[in-house]
Amino acid sequence: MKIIFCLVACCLPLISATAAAVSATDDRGVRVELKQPAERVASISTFGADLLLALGVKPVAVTQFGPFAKPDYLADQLVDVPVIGSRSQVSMEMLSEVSPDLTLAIRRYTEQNAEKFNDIAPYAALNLITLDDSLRAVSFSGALLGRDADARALNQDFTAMLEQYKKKAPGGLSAALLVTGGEVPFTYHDHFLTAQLLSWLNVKNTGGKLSTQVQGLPLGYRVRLENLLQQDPDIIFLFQTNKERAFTQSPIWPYLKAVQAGRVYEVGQHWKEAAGPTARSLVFKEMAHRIYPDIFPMPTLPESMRSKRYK
Amino acid sequence: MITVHNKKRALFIVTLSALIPVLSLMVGVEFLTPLDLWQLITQEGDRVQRIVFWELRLPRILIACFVGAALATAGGVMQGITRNALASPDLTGVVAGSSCMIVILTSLFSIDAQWFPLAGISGGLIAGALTFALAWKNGLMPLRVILAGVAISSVCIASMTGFLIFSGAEAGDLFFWLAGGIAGRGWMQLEQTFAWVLIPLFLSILLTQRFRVLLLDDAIGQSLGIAVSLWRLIFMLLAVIMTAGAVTLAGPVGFVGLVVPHITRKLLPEQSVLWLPLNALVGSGLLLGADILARLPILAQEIPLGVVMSLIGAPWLLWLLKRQYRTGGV
Repeated sequence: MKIIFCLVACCLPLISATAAAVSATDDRGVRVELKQPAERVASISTFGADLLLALGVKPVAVTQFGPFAKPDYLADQLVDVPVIGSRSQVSMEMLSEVSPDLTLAIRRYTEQNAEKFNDIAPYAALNLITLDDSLRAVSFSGALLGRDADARALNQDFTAMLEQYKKKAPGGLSAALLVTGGEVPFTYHDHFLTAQLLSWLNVKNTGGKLSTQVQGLPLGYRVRLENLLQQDPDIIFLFQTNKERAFTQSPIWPYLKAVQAGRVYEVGQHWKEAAGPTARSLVFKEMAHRIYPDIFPMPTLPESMRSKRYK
Repeated sequence: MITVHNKKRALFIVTLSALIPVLSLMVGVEFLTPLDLWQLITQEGDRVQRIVFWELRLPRILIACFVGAALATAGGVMQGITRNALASPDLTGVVAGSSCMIVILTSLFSIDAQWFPLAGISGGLIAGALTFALAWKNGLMPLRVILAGVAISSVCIASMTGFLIFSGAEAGDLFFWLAGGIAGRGWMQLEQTFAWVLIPLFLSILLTQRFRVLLLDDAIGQSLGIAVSLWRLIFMLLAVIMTAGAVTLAGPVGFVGLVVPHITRKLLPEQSVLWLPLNALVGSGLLLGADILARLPILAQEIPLGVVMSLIGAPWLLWLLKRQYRTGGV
């Protein structure tokens, strides 16, 4: 009996260490293994910060949110979190200074520096383009944080909301998601998360399908003005740009149905990076309200992020 | 001397140049037949077709014509007065100067596209002025102009690359602009820029007689009582201004200024009074043809005009060099 007790006592630390170890496969197909659930996570993309805060974990470092330092919908919770550069230009020095035990990163901007990231902390690369990517990234990150159940709940709540809205949405409309400050607007393909959300509201994305894609790229294309005129969307969502959009001064602009009906909206930066659980929910609810204002209410949003009618 | 064979060729090219604009009006996302075009001109026609015709295709064709004519004429002027068959508007630093100014102002101050004409023209003029200042030594020496132009271009390109790295979200738009093209341009851009293109273009053509003298040896020009250096400077300035206007309208579209004078020399001698106007005509036709290829509805997105021109121009130039090498011309 004594021998058995001693054996169990000796093995206990080993067993608990095995139980605490976590692992998951990232979007590169690489198995990321941690000896214990991550506690000090650096986020390269807004997704990481969004998810961590949704799970009640404060990130140790974040990257810029487009042209802004931090997203306003998370800003209160990120006050003293250092910004370590942009998604494509991360300061490795600053990253190493915060001593992360995991780096959650957007794949397309960081994969080429995977080794450097791995030297600092285990590196996980996430595609973060489609709705599936978002759902998978939430589960993946939940596993590495040792919070599978919470992550699963986030995904279940969101997919339930999608189903619920889809049932209520009347449909029969089309919408375009346009971005750029130049003369030819860039529009997103159906597989881009924000465009994909349109289909859950029974709305056709005029950007259309992409026949062949590699890791979800390209996200879209510069649409010909003749095509835009033919597609003539009922609603246009204009993504953030820090310049006056030259294509809205093109001769065809006043002829578009959405423009004539006053259904052109400037939307917040979070529409471009909507993979996080909070962002995707806010985008979807706001999109639903703008498309069907009588059916769906406007979600609560910081004023700086609220969509506005474009004049 | 204009041979019968060359007359036929010239007639063919003139006819082609007249047909290309019509073809250009027809080709696009929706193909318009000649009957559609006639109805759109004479009557109201279909709403979408009407907008496409009047608001998109017509201004676009005019822009392609102006840009092609300006770059080709500037190329002819440059090659003529420098007596260098490889001279082109790019070598005066103007193309790089215009592009550089737009990239810098967009990166630093996020200027809107409506300011591109002013930025592009001022950048082109500053770069051109610097080139001339560097090249001036007791007059304007053609070889020095080219060397100074290459140096100024290099500085502009290096600066532009540096700013592009830090331009963040604007980089995609700037790369698209730098690929050259007239997609999305319309009446507004034409109104803002046409004077900068058309006035020096017409002046160059009106002053053809003086240009012909500059093609001769300097001593002959001086013996005819022509202030060679002054006229060379005037023609260079005209070439610089029309190039800056063209780059502002269409971005840096290469090869037109280099290739077209080689084509027109096969049809007419440089000394002909019709040579510069022929450059303008062929330049317009070539750029319009390239623009038709750029907007063929094969891909969802248009191919940048600069890319199409390079794909046409580079092999053609290599073929020309090979041919001249065989015939002992090089």
